[in-house]
Amino acid sequence: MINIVSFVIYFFITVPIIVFVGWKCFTIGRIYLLDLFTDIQICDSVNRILLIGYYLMNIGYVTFSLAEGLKTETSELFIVSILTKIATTILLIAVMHYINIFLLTYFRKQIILTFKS
Amino acid sequence: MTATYNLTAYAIYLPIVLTLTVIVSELLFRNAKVFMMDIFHQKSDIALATNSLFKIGFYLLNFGFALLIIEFNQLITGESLVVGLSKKVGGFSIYLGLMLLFNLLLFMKGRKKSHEKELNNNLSDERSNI
Repeated sequence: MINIVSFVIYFFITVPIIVFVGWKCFTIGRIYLLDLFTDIQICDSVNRILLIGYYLMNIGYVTFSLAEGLKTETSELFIVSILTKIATTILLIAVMHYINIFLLTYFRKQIILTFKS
Repeated sequence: MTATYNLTAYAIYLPIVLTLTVIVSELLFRNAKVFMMDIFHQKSDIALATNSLFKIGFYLLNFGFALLIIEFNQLITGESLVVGLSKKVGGFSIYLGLMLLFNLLLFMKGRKKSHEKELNNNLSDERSNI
């Protein structure tokens, strides 16, 4: 039974973080997209599709890795393993975030050449 | 005969996956309408027709994949039910996100192609006028 409780705890800590980060990127990234597309309608729909894709993939990953590396023998082991899992997920998002920033700063010209009309 | 949780798992898995697919594709193709109108130069009949063709393809692909991965291993305890369901639903959700981004890529490439074509047509028109 304790396993199911830990699944719920893990889920309800990581999902709000993912939603918060996604919402921030949604509002701030709109400015970058406006730079790429002159049409405001298209920019908004691309932004929405990207947000949906981000939520699907990240929440999907959290759901997928629900049971991995979880130990429930003692309470100490339980706390350590659940915190490790949360930390792994957050670090993964952070790495993806930095990769995004890196791409936007260094390959901006190439990205514009590929998609801008 | 020992009771397993497999039938329960199918009864939970199928509604979740099917509603997820329907919601995502409705959201995607509501937003894609703007793209289609832009690609086909505001001709709404052909734009909407292309949109619904893409939608049918998206539904077929995702329903097919969802049904293909339906088989569960023997689920004996309630916990293994939760774990198995999370694996299936999470994996399908990641796949759905990838398909969504792939479709977005197709739309953006198509838009660029159609704009380039228009630009070339305009240039040749000007040349012929001169």
